Formats: sequence, structure tokens, C-alpha cells
Amino acid sequence: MSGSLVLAVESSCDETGVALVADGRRILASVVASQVALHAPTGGIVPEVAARAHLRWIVPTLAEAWSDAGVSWSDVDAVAVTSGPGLAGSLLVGINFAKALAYVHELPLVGVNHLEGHLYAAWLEDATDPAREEPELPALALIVSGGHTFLSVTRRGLRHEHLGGTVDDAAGEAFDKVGRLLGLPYPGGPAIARAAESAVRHEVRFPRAWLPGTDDFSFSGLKTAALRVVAEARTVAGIDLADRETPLPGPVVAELAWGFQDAVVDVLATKTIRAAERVGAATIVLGGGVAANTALRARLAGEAEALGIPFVVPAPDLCTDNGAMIGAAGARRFTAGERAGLDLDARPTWPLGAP
Amino acid sequence: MYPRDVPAAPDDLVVETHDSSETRALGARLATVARPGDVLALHGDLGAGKTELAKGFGRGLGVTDTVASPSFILMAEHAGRVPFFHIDLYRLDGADAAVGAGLLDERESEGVTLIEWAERLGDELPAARLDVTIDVVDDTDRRIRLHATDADHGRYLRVAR
Repeated sequence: MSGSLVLAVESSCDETGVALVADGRRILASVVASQVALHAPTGGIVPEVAARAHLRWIVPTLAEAWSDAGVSWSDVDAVAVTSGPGLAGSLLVGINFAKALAYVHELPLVGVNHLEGHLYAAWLEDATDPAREEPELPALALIVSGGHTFLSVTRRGLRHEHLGGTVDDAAGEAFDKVGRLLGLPYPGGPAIARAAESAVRHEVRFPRAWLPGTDDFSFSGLKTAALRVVAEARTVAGIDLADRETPLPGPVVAELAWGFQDAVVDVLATKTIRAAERVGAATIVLGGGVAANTALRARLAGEAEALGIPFVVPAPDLCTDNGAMIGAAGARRFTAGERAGLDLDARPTWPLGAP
Repeated sequence: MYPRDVPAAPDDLVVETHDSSETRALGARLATVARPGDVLALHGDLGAGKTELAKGFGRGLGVTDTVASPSFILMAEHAGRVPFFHIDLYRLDGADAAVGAGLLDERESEGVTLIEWAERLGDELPAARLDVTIDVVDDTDRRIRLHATDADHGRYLRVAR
């Protein structure tokens, strides 16, 4: 890896990301145009997602990355791009853009799995913790976002085994939907975490779906549970059944938010620690947008420390979708000799660990 | 299998399910008559059981990978007896967004398409389809109304009971 400079492009979902990454580890530039950030004020809806917006943002994103990086095309060794999983139309915007760059600048092209990118985000240098070393293998990873929730183990470089994942809703999706049911603003993750902080009683208990004997998760039952506790809380608060406008009092919402978050964090952390012990993990890695949740980070950090296993979580802006993580994975693929042709195609359903 | 010229009426059917496994079983029954080009439009509130029905539908199509909620990824594709396109418009506010996201794709004519939060497609919703509306009765019970908008999709009503 040493000596490689990779220009990386990510466009699999809502974020358009371009980054320049040296040695698979050092970020020279990482720029993300986020449609979620652009459209959050409209109340949780993304009016123009994916393909069309990627087209609009990808060139300005590249230009900004170049102005940040302080290098030139002659320094670049390869172009890496997310080729799956994701929406075909969105992936193709990034893929075709990367192909054009590789062709024009006569550079090798590397196709990267988005989920592998989330994993290798933990291998990127952390500006706030420059002394941190690369995670040791085997690494047990919990990747949690709006679209994905899974456990995997990496025993050797670039060899990942998917251990289990959600059978219904992703953890981030559960945060968003239950946030909506509680009347909290979008995005639901930060809103629930904020509300939960002001809870004092800590008595509300949401059900846990343990799915014993598997590394799988299930979070869809939490919606039904939330519907029930919200209805009960409204009755207790004396709000008429026909009245759908009056919001629940803030302190009540706080307790419900805490109870929900506690259930999600409990299941995620417990199953992650169990899997880490079982596979003999030398490191536990957390990634994906939900890694920004402080309750989850604190719980996993505490339990990992008790076991004496180092715990690594990237900076928040490297946990959400970005180009740098694709550069981290792409540099490893490039160094391993992988090359994609100009016929590189989108793989909307590409699972982690599949060739 | 049923002939394609199924008579038009009666084109409505109500099925009650008493837990999520019954909702999945209904999905699996529906899948037995699925053909390329079919569209199932699912309607119902958060937590009603749309994804449960989709999971059963996938199972009935012989899909072996996990059919999870595509709310954030917008569309999931699965290989089954016929290709299965599972779309979720939860995060979108209208047909323009769905078209812009590339969710309505020519390839879908080669498979069966199931759309959660389908009403958000408005006029872009294919005219020939099976509407599946899930109402929450209580914690576990659901009232599921099936409505075929054309004679062809009427074949689903025959296997739903």
C-alpha cells in the first residue's frame, strides 16, 4: 500500500463523495455532498435522491477535493469507485465518472464494495487521534446505518465473512421510524439520542429480539412496540383519542426515546461482544452512520475494554457514507493487483465477502 | 396456474391475519401466481406489516437471501422463480423523486415488482396492479384488503383465501 495515492468516488446512496487517500490510510481530501443535509429542513423527505442529484454534485465535489488535496493527477496511482451494493442508477453515475477519469488520465480502475469501504474506514488515520494504530486482525465489525446492519469478521486482509445481519429493518431505519412515531424531527437518530439524554426515570422497556443462535438482528417489532407505548402514553397524558395534533409532553417523549434506544443498543452491543468472543477478535470495529450514537459507542467501548479487546470507531464523518472509506478499501484492492476494465458494471446486490 | 383471461369481478377480497407469520403466509400464497410484469402496490401505516408480507412473497418466489426493508436503500433486487424487485418509497415524497432515483426501470418488466408506500407514486403508479392495503386492528391482528385493478391481477385473489 505504501506509496499509493488513490482517487475514490462514492455514489451508492444519498451521498456523493470524492476523496484522495494516500497509502490506504492518510486522507489528503474528502468531500461529501449530502442530500440528507441539504433536505433535512423539509421534514425528513429527500425530494430528489440518488441518480439525478449525484449527477449534479459529482463534478463540484471532485473540484473541491482537488483544491483541498494539494496534489496533481500525475501523483495519482489509481481510481477507485463503489460498484455495489446500492441503487443501480446511482452507482452508475459514480462508475461512469470514475471510468472517464481513469481513461482520460490513463490510470487503473478498481471497483470497491461499499460495505467493505465501511469496514476499512476504521483503518483511516484519525485526525483527532493521530497515534492510533491500524486495527489488528482478526477484526470483528459491526456496521450499522440506515440501510445496513450486519456483523462480519475479517481474519486476513480483504477476506471478510458475513456473520449475520438484520432480517427486517436496519438499526438506523428503526431510529428514524420510531423517531417519527414519537413525533421527533428528522433525522430520527440524533433526535432520539438527544431526547433520551434528558430522560431521568429510565423505566420504559422495549422488547428485545435476540434471535438466539444467530448473529442476526430484528428491529421491526420495535415499531409495533412504539405504536403501543405511544398510544398508552397519550391516554395517560389525558389526550383524547380523536386528537392527533397535541404532541406528547417532552419528558414523556424523553423516557420513551430512552427506552427505545436502550433496547437497540443492548441488542447491538450484546450480540457484537458475543460474536467477538466467539471468533477470538483482536479488535472490535464499529462503523456506519449509527456509530455516531454516543450510547452505542460508550456501551461497546466499555464492554470491549472489560474484555481487553481494542475498540475502534472512525470519526463521525467517516462513519457515514464518504469517498475516503472507498479509497481505504480501494488502495488495498489496488495493491493486491485488482483491476477493473472499462466494462465495470453496477452490482446492486453485491454482498460483503463475495468475489 | 390460472389462465390470463381471468374474469374481472369480483375484484375485492379481505383477509384477516392474526400474527406476522400469517401475514407472511399470505405473501407466500400470493407469490405462487406471480408472473413477470406484475405489480403489487402495498399500502399501510408504519408497523402495519408491509415488509412482513414482502418477506413471505419473496419466500413464495423461492428467494433464498434475506428480504429486509429497503426503506433506506429504496430498492432491493432478489433472484427467485421470477426476478423480484422490492421497492420502498418511505423516504420519498412523490413520483418525481422515484423517477429521479431510477426506481421505475425497464428491467422490472422481466420480474414482479412489489412497492411499499405505493400511493406516493401518484399518477406514476402502474394502472394494472394488485393493491394490498393493510389496516392495523390491534397489536397482532391485521385486516388486509386485496383489490385487483385489472382482470389479469385478479388471479391473486384466487390464491389469497
